[in-house]
Amino acid sequence: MPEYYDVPMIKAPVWTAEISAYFFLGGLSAGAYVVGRMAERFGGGQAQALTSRAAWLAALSFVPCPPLLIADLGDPKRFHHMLRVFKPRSPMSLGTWILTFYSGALGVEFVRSTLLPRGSRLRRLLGPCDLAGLPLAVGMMGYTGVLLSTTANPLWCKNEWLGAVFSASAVHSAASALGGLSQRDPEPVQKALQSLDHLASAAEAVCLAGFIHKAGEKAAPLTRGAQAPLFWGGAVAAGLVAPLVLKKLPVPKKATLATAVAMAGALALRHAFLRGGRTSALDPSASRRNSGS
Amino acid sequence: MIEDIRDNFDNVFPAQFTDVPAPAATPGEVTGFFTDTTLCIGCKACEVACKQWNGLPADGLHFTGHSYDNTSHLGATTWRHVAFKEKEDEKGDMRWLMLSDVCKHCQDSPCQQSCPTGALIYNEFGDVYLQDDVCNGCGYCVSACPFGVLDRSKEDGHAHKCTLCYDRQKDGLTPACAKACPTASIQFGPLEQLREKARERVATLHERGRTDAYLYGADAFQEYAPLNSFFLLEDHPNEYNLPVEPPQPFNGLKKRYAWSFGMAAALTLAAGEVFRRSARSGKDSHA
Repeated sequence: MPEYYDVPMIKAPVWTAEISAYFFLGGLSAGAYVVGRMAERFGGGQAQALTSRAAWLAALSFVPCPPLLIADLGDPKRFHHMLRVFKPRSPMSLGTWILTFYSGALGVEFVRSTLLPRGSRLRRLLGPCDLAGLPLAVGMMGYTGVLLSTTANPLWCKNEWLGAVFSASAVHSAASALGGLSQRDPEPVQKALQSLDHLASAAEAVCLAGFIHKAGEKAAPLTRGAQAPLFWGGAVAAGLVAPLVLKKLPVPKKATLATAVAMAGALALRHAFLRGGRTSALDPSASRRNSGS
Repeated sequence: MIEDIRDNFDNVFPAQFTDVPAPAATPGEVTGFFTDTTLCIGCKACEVACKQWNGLPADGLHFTGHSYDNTSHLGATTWRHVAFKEKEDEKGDMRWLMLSDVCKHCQDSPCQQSCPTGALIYNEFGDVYLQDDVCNGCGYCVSACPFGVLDRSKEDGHAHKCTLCYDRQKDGLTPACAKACPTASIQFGPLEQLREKARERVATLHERGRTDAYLYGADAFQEYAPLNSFFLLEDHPNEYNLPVEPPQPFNGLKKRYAWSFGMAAALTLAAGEVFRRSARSGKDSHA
């Protein structure tokens, strides 16, 4: 096999754990925003408490996001250079602008549903702001996976399932978190959150399988390489399997426990993908396989 | 124990504020490099000239054991890198493969497309230029480049790569590496002329019986546009740590956006539907 002293052909990603944390928290925030808005729009009076709880969750999980992103820059004081151009073809530029405007929509929703009294006119008037907020939340959930898959990294490169995995995981983690926090809500609301949780986790499992199938040999860093424990133990076992199994077991506080493992799983999923990209880049045989040899 | 020589002096990139005109304002001839590996003698004058002209920081002392190559690869502080490959032929004779690697200045460059700050641009010579005063070190170009050219420096946190001596070109000078090359293995000039010269060179080599010679990057790859700095090789690209078919990460971008946003939007609608049903069942149970 022609090769060059096993020197990596491409550079390892410079992104570290801050980015995994951002992928998780940003997805959770946008997912919670979506659940809260949909609950208010379609869930009727019984979903009122869920709406403001979702706004709290969306806001609290969003607060660390900009600092995490800025901390990961090589030159953090130049973070605002991201805002000097708009390049929708660059997923990172598009993501920056989505994040910027999403923070505005989220701020409006937070003030509206947690500070303004129920039934107030302003509260009613600000409701339709989600016509802008919902597409922005969809963008927040969706752009991160596309960013990773638009690189030369063998693990991520041009795999359309990756974005779908992250999108599904975002809704999954939000539904699961809100499910755990809404155990005293009316039965139908809890049922709705549970159905959404199951639906999103099924979608995530299908997309994950699609990803591994498409990546083939290039998925090795995840499936049997350095990140295998984090991937199988964290993303799959804790994120997808354990929450379902726990609900069937006779253990105390199982709903809370199920939410906790699902959160750990969602974070493990992002980190396994990010760290797996590093392993993949440092393996020249993976780069050669990804470039026609 | 050798102490790190970088501790002995200010090891920093020089401040760089090159005024760049809008490309459309000054349409000029596209320039590039033609690197002929059959002429390379491995003297590394190009590496030294590049480091000196561009004032690049030291990258430490590493002994790799990979023939005479202790630099290994291009990076933030190495913009020309001479690869040394010792090859044994069928008769057991050793021969050298030597290649002075450099940024490919791709005509459809993933780093330029990925850059969210607009630091990476095409300059008036049609080459990919990284504006150091704009880059904030986001690291996207590092992962986007299929040749592993760019890296982020620990010195200043910015990404760095070959500028094709933009400052020298503006003053009508030849880039430092090409100027220093004693065997004309590195040639600089208008791209069209270089390609013509390179094709003649391949024909000459073939006439002399060196039929393995071929051009790498002078023409488009399967999914990757031609390179402004292209090479004449005599062996498999992987022997020089070059990809056979560089992947173009931006191919299929719309499809990936559609899948990802589609999934997020579908689950948003699903959320609406589960709450609509819950509202209905809530009413039923009250009734």
